[in-house]
Parts: sequence; C-alpha cells; structure tokens
Amino acid sequence: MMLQVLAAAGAIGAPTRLNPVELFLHADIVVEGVIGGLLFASIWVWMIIVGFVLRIWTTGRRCRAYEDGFWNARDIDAYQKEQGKKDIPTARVVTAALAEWRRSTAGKTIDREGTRQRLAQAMDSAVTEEADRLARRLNFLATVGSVAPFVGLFGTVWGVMDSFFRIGAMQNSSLAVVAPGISEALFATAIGLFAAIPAVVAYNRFSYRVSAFETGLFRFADRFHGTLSRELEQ
Amino acid sequence: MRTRTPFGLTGEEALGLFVAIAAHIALIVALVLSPLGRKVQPPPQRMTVSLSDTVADQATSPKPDAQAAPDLAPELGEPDHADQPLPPAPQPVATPEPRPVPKPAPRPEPKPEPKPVPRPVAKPEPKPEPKPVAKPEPKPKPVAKVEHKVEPKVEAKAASKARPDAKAKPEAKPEARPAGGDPRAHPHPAKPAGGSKIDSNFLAGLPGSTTPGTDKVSPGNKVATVSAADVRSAISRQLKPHWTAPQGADAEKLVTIIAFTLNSDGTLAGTPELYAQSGVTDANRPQAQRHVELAIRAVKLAAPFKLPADVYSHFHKFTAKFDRQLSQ
Repeated sequence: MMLQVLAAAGAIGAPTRLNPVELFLHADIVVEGVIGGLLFASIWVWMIIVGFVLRIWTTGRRCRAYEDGFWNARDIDAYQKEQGKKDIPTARVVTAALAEWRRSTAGKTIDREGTRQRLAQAMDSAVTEEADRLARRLNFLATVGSVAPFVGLFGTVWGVMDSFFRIGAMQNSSLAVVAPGISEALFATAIGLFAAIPAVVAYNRFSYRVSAFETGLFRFADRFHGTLSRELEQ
Repeated sequence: MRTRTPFGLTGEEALGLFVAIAAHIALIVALVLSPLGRKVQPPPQRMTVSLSDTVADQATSPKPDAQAAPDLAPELGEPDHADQPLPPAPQPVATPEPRPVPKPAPRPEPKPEPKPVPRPVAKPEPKPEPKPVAKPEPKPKPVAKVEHKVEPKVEAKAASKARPDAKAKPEAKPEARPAGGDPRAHPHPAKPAGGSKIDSNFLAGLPGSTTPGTDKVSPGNKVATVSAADVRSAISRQLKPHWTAPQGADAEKLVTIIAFTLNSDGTLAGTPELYAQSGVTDANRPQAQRHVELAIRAVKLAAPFKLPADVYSHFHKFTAKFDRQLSQ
C-alpha cells in the first residue's frame, strides 16, 4: 500500500530517475524476496546499533556512578541493599559475590581457600554473564555483515538470469530490454551492501566496546575479591 | 528486573527498532522524492553537411541604368533659387558670427558686386517674410543669399522646379526677385532666372532619365541555386560505378581529366575527349593510354547524366577527373 504510493510518487517525476520503489516492484519475485529480507536485516541491524549504543551509554554511566559510591560506602551491605535492585551490571556482580560470601561463611568452620575460589568463580561467571547479555545481539551483526553481500549477490544472479531469459523470450537483445532487468538485479546487491557495511562496522566497534566493558568489570571484580579475601582473614 | 516488550526487546532495543524503521522509510522517501535523477539529454539530430569550396558565379555585369544621369544640363546665367527659402534660414541661425561665413562664400562666386545691390531691395521685403531670425543681423542675410547662388548649380532639381515656381508665385517668390536682382533677369519675369541649356522635355524617354526604363531583367543569369561543387560531386558520383582504374606499377599516380559535352537531357553530345593527363611516369606509361580509354568509356557508360535541370540551361561542357580516389 505504502509502496504503491511511493511508486506513484516516483512515477510522477522524471521516468529516468532511479526510483528504488519502482525497481523493487518491477523485479522478479525471488529478487523481491531477497531485497525484502535484506531490507528487514538492515532495519534489524540498525535497531541493534541504536539499542546497543543507548545501552552502553546508560550502563557505563550507571556503572561508574555505582562503583564510585561502592568504594566510598562504609557499609557495603547497606549500599547494596539500596542500589542492588537497579539494572547495573556491577551491582549484579556484587550481589552474586555477596550471595556466595554469605553461603560460604554461614557454617561454623570456614574454608578460606575454598571460599576465595568460590567467590572468584561466582564473580567471574557474573561478569561473563553481563558481557554476554550486552553482546547478546552482536552475533546478528556479524552474520549480516558476512552473509548479506552473498544474499544480495544471489538476488543479482537470479535477476540477471531472469533478464537474460526475457531477452530470449522477446527475441530482442537491445539494451532497452536488458538494462531494466539488470538494474533491478543489481539493486539486490546494492541493498545487500547497504545492510552489510554498517553491520560490519558496528560489529567490530561494539565487540571492542563489549570487551572493554568486560575487562572493566573484571578489574572491579578482582578488586572486590581482594577486599573480600582480606575480610576472610580477619 | 528489565522491562521486556513482546518481541523480547529491551527498552533501548525497542527505541532502536523504531528509530531504524523511521530512518529506512525516510531514506526511501528521500530517494523517491529527491531530484536525484538527471535529465536524459536527447542525442543531437543527425544533420548532413555538404562542404563546398566553390559556388557558381552570380551574374556580375553592371546595370547600365543603375545611375541616372541628370535630366538637365548645367544652368546658364544667374541661377534661380526661388524654391530655396529653407536653406537660408538655418544658415543665419547656425552662424551667429558672420565672419566665417562670408569668407568661403565669395570665393566660388566671382560676383561679389551684387552684394550691395540686393541689400537695399531685400531689406524692406524680408520683414513680412517668415524670417525673424535673420532679421536682427542684416549682414548674414545677404551673405547667405550669395551662397544660394552657388548651390542651385549643384542641385539640378532646384533649377528645374524654378520655372513652375515662377509661374505659381509662391510665398518664396518675393525672395526670388531680389535674388535675381541681376539686370538680365528683369526683362523676362515669366522665364526662370537661371535656365537650363536643354529643356527637360527634351530628355524624356532617354535611358538614364528619371522615368524608369522598360528593361526589368538584369543582363546576367543567375546560377546561384546550383553550386559548382554540387554539379561536380553529382557527376563524379554517377561516374564512380563505371570507373575501374587500370592496375600496374604507379598506376595510382595517373590523373586523367576528360572533357565532354552534354545535351539538355543529359545525354552525351559527341565523344568525350582527353582534356589533360598528369602523373605519367616511366613506370606507368604503358597504362596511361589505357587510363584515358577507360575514363572515356566510363563517361560513355555513365551517360545519360542525371543532373539538376537548371544546370543544363547554363552549362553544357563538363570535365571529370579520373584518379585513384574516384575508384575507391
């Protein structure tokens, strides 16, 4: 419905203009499917990009604020009770560590070495879970970045095949017969690249951001682990 | 812990999805509506250009009656300037200082004596005349009159009209009388003061008179519609299929010019003849004669020639150049 409107809007202007909607509507059904899928992938890629950027901004800001308050807090338990409910990765790491600490120190005898190991494991798993959660959709970026050009190429090959078939059917090999079909077919490759290029760039950039965030969490966890170890010796 | 939308999206991702869809739609709309498309320039129409360095001559003979001879012979005696009231008016106005004017005037006129004579006669009369400008300076007026005496000689028309003017007595006539203050003019007031040696009636009907002649056609003929280059190319185009140059050493250097005459229907009149031959060397001397024969044969085969019809009304003798270029 909207496509028809856009195509009509394009048809009003010069007929020679490169109208993507007209190209899409004139293309073969397979090419249309490829283009539609790639367009959806592109929308999804941009959804991930925007969502990730927003998330990493808010998360990073909250984590820094939380850590500042954490190291200055006199009573960690009270601070955690106040801040722990919030959607902060660092807070969840602390929650996991504190839960393990309580479980390990609940008994009469305390296995210090075993408690240290369990604390470290609990925090490590909490950190990696946070990193995984952050990077949950990045694999889609990687997939689109590597596959979308091939999908577009498939649409192009199919479209070129179709337009050669049309040449044979029309018994006319003039450029006017071939050109529109090839143009529509190449449009599939263009859409594939249009989806893939931002996906690849975003994937590389966001992988770096996730790993940086993860190392930041690990540093915090190590520091907190040191605090808890000192606490065990007392 | 986290708000989840139906598609398993976090809040940021839902916002991201909205932004992404909006951006894609905006991009498509921009592509559709923006004037990205360049106007396709239509290829220029093909046009045929004929290069012609020579154009047939136009008739150049001069028209005998292009310049009309004067009807009248030079005037004799004191010239009349009866119908010349206008020239004196600007002159006094144009020359407020009388000094420069009198100087040139006396020179052509060998009669400076009349000056004092017209002055007393002219003075009373011009006052009613429409010459108030001339009045304040009495001196320039007679001087101007002296000038008129010179001018009528140059302008024959003025003299020819002098006679009717004298009869009709226009308002200028009183002026004529003082001008013709000459003693000779007085006895015959009916006749013009300055007369032509030959009456204008005498010249009526002669060529060069003011009445146009009966000949309406210029003596030369126009051939401008057909250019010589057109005729030449038409002839060589029709000769080409019949012309095969002889083979041999240096045969391509031979150039034979054949002269032939055509009847008005394009058929050959008489036999084509050798007009000139060039490029003969020792090597191609055996082919030279054959070159001529083949050229004559080509002209005979090509006849009758189809040329524009008006060509035959002006040209009958043609020449054709036979060389290596023609056989290609």
